[in-house]
Formats: sequence, structure tokens, C-alpha cells
Amino acid sequence: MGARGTAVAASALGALALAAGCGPQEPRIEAADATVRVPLNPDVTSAYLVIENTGGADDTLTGVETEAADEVQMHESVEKDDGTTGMEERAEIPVKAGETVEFASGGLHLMLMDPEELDAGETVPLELHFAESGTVEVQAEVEDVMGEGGQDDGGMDDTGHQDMDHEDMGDMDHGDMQH
Amino acid sequence: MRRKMCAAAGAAAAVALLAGCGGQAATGDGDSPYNGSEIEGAFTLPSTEFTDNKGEPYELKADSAGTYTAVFIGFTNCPDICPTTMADMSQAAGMLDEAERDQFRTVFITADPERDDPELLDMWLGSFDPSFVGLTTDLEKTDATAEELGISVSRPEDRSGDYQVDHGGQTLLFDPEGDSKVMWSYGTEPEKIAEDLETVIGEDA
Ligand SMILES: [Cu+2]
Repeated sequence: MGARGTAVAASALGALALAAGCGPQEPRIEAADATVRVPLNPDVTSAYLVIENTGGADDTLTGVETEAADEVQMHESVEKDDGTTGMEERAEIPVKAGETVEFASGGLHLMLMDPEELDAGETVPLELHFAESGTVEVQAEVEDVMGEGGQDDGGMDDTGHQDMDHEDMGDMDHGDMQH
Repeated sequence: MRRKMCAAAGAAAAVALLAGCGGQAATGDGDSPYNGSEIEGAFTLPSTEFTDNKGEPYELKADSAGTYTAVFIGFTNCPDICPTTMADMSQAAGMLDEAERDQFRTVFITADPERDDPELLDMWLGSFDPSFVGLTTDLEKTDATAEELGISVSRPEDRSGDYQVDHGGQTLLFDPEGDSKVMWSYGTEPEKIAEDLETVIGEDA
């Protein structure tokens, strides 16, 4: 009886600690699947990643930096009324509680201005600045435009994973470039 | 690489484009024998003089004659849409058998001739497929060509800094006579493009 009572008390305490420490009222940011395209033109290249907020409060991505480029801008490819496809710069990207934001070709992407020379298979750190969570760093894999990450050339995206557990995004990133 | 632009948006754009250029019969995927939109004869390759990525003259209609030719208009400072499209075309071509591939070529026309010279085009296209042809000419002929092909291009007045050129994201396929056959909107999967190429090339075989 006594032992059991202690166990219950301990687990209640645990629950309390959990609520205080990383409870539902805080954002919790995880960044994964980051890739940088080998620059095809010396002026610019793009980077992609997935940001998930598994916490209980909203957050906002306010900027990105990397040592591999002079500047990183956040862009979105958009279809305009005149039938053209262009890009618009975004100052902030909301990452709401429980939501996943994908930077993917044809949508949101990071623009690396004046990038260094980068070879497929290299790794580049991206510093993601969030309004609430501060700076989150993610390692981005440099990929050839044909989807090859260097050493394993049949693998397309497979080398780029910074794995977190993501049942819900498992497949999204394996499809299009493969046969 | 993942893609965001949804199929519905692409289809809507295709319909709008067709409506805008003189009422083609095809009104959606349902009527098209292809994965892309059928644009049979809606456009014809103009006889415009370009310089190719090897620095040689290339007359768009004459020098494309005899092969099925996919045409895309873009620019090399475009980091997202243009490389993805070129990678898709390269993958699609890779899915064809050799006989089909011999009858097919991809042509990239720069919408940004002030920055994209033949040398830069050659380097850029080499990342995808050394068989791709890159074409450049003056602004006036570039815009006239884009208009002939129903592809919008819009460049900022001030082109001093890191400017971007907005351009239609579609790729047009022309037959060996230079008449349009199929249009693929941005994000069409390489498998679907390859399937259409096989269909089109097979029709005439
Ligand atoms: Cu961009």
C-alpha cells in the first residue's frame, strides 16, 4: 500500500514537472529533411526542409542564416494573375502549434544568395531563427539537382534525412524524383 | 524534391491559357488523350534566330524540325521552378527507349538574355543533361517568341541587383513540323511526361 502510494505520488509529480517544463503552452520546433541544391548558377541556390511544431504554442520563423551563403531569404513560388510563375519574399513564416511547414519545390523555399561552392554530399548548417524558440540549427545535405546526394547516387533523397520520427511525412519526400 | 503547386491550380491555369488563346477544344484532363493538356496546333514554333549554348546560330523552327521538341522559357538565376522543371525533363527523357530518345530534344530559352549568355547556359544545362539546348537572343526577340508560344514573361524595369524574371511555368511539346501537341504545367511528374512522349512519338511511328 505504502509503496503504491509513493509511486502514484511520484508519477503525479512527474506529470506536473512535464507540464511545467515542456507543456502545451510552449512551441517545440523540430527541423528535418534539410537539403541544399548544388548551386547551378554562381549567384543563387535553393534549400528545402520540413519544420514541425510539436509543442502547444505557436511560433514564427523570422529568418535563416548559413555560413555557406551571404544571405538567406525566405521565398514562396507563386502563380500570378498574368499567368507567370514568380517568387515572393516572406519576412515571417508562421509555424503554428501542431503544424508542419514544408519548404518544397514549387512552394516555400530558402534562397541562398551568393552561395559558396558546394558539392553534393557535403553538409551545410542552417540556423533557423524563431520568435519564441530562438535559434534552431539543422544540418542540410547538399544535393545534386538530379536528386543525387553524392556517395549514393541511386538514393535520391535518402541521404538527406535528419531523422525525427515522422509517420505523417514518411512518404512525401520520396516520390517525385524517383522512377 | 516535393512540390506544392496543386494539380487543380495547374489544370485551372491550363484552361485559362487555352481560353485566352482562341478557344481550343480541350477543356481539361478528361478530354486530353495525354497526361498534359492537348494543344494540338495551338502554337507554332517561330522562325526566330537564337544563339545556342555552344555559341552556334540556332533558328528555332528550322533547327528543331525533324524531332519532337519540348520548349521551356526560364532563366538560370531561377533557383526553384526552372531547375526542377529541367530535372523533370531530363528524368522523363531517361525513361524513353533509345529510338524514342533520338526523336526528342529539350530546348530551354532564356527569358533573361542580359545575364544568361551561352557560356552560362551551357554550364547550367550541363547539370541536367548535356543534350539540352539552351538558346539566347535579344530582349525583343525573346519576348516576341514567348508571346508566340503563349508563355508570359515579365521582367522588372530595374535590373541592377538580384532581380527575378517571372515567367510561365509550362513546357510545350512540338511535333517535328513545329506544331504544338501537348502542354505540361509545372510540377507534372517525369513519369507522366515520359508517358505522353511515348504516346506522341508512337502516334506517328
Ligand atoms: Cu526564390
